[in-house]
Amino acid sequence: MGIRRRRFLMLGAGTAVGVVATLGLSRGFRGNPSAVIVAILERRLGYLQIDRGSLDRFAADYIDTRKRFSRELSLMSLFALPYRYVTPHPWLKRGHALRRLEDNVVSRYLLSTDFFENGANETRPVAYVEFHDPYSIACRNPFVPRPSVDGAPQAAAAPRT
Amino acid sequence: MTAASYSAIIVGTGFASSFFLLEYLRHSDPSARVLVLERGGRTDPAAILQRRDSFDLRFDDMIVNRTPQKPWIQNIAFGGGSCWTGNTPRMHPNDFRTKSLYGVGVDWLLSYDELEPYYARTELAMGIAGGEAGPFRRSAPYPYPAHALNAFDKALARKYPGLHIAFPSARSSSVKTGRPVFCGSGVCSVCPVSSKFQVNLHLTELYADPRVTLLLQAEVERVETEGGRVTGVQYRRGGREQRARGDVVAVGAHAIMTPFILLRSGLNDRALGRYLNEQMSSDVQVDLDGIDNYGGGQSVTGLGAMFIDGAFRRDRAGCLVESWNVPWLRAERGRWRQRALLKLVFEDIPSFDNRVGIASEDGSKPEIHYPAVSSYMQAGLDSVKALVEELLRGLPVEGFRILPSEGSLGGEAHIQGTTRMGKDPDDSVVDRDLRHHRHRNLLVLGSGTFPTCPAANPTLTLSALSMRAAERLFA
Repeated sequence: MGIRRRRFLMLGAGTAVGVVATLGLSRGFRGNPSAVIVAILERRLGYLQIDRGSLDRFAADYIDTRKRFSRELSLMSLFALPYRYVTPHPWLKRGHALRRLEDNVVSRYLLSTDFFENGANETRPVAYVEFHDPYSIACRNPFVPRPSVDGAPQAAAAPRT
Repeated sequence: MTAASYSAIIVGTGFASSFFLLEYLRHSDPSARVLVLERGGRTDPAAILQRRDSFDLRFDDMIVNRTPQKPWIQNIAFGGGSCWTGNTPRMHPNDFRTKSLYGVGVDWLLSYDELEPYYARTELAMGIAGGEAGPFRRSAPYPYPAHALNAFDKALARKYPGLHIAFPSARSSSVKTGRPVFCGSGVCSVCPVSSKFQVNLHLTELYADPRVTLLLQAEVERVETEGGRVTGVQYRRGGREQRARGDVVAVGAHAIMTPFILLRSGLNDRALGRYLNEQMSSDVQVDLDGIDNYGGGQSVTGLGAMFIDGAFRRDRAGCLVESWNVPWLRAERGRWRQRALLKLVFEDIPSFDNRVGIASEDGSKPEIHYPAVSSYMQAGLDSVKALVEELLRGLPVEGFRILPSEGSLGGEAHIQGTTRMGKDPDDSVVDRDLRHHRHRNLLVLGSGTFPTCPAANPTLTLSALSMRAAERLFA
């Protein structure tokens, strides 16, 4: 009985995927790539105090730097809702494109906030500062020792508590 | 029209040519006249950042690559190798004697100790930050303090005392260099704050010297010779062919264009254009156990010398270990910084068959043949897993992953060997003073003169060789 039920569920899921994929591959389809990015962050960083607006802003900035992947991300947005809850990430090989996407989104988001300046303190609200792009905005690495007034290096800024 | 005459004509404005010019002017009197011809133009720093690369001209369009699985990276612009990241290790002392010590490659015509004073002077001129000497013995301390090691470097330094040291670099560690201190952007090839020493930004006074005439967008097509001496150069600028006469000609147009120019000039040295080589590397991602990393003071914080030298070099290539400090996070809750990235950069034994020539279908372009790396280097690359296991043994590490090489032969953008130094004119192009064997007023500059392919980044060594060569002109 368990096996039949599993087959039924897989058949249903497969049908749903097929329908959704058909919709996605149709011409003129315009998904919402930001939805994927937000889904990843809500799932992976749901334990942090982050406001939704911050995620939307980051997602828009992230998509803006990934224009050459807009078609793929649009397609993925069809699965944004389930992606908010499940992901194949744990079963994918390290280096798999999907795994790299998720890890890159999470890392880039955290570097774009004040999370590390606050000592990675999970009890503090996380504020989006600016999109982490060292080519556009220099000197925002939160880990590098900061030069003192006379230019001699000193320890990285102590985390605020 | 009579060609203008100069005391010296220098081709190129990269590190090799610029440090030659620096030393040449130091010894020259006010009446000296130096013509410098650069094929590229001035780069626009804002445009570079917007493009995210420092390449104004597409090098691929300038060459015919017969073995496209091997890419070649070169910047053609005023200042030359401005795409460099600022790493300035010295060669290991035994790199100069691999034939004598291990029976492989050839011995350099200079020893480490003969080049050492020029290393020190070049480091001073570039404002190099460094600390412990390690196996690279020194006559004087580094001019500026070392950048901080990161946490993983410190663990390696404890395990390998004297062999894992702060990476010497041209990334400023003090405002006293006259440049901003490194601030962690981690995109050193296009440094957004000009912390890294660059010819086009930090040697501008050199090119403003009243004795120097700098012509940009001037493509040297050939050196002219008469009666066993070079008499000048022929170049193209603004669509017109022009000539200049010089008592001395120094060509520093990098290891692909320099032999190409000389071949087009009719020089027929057997080794000219041959022995083309560069290092290959392997990247390794390390997951750390409880060490929060990335707190070092520059992009590449640690230099591991533990695998550069030893008896193993009889059989396989040695390598230099770079420990990187760019925050490529480990995307796991609470373990964000528990990651390290190592790059193992391998030496090679240059092969006569890897070469630069004149393209048969387009004589205005060099053609490049590079069918394979040597079995010596391949043996080194094949040992990466074992080396990393040895490196990490006993350290708080969960595991590591050797990153895939993306299917190409890759390379480190350190092109070398095509105008090598040597005693035998049948197997080399220049002598220990970088003078051409037959045309004694022709100097050839740059890493093309390296007779071996050491693991160290070449910029410091080629600059030191240039300074020495200029000084030797006046000896």
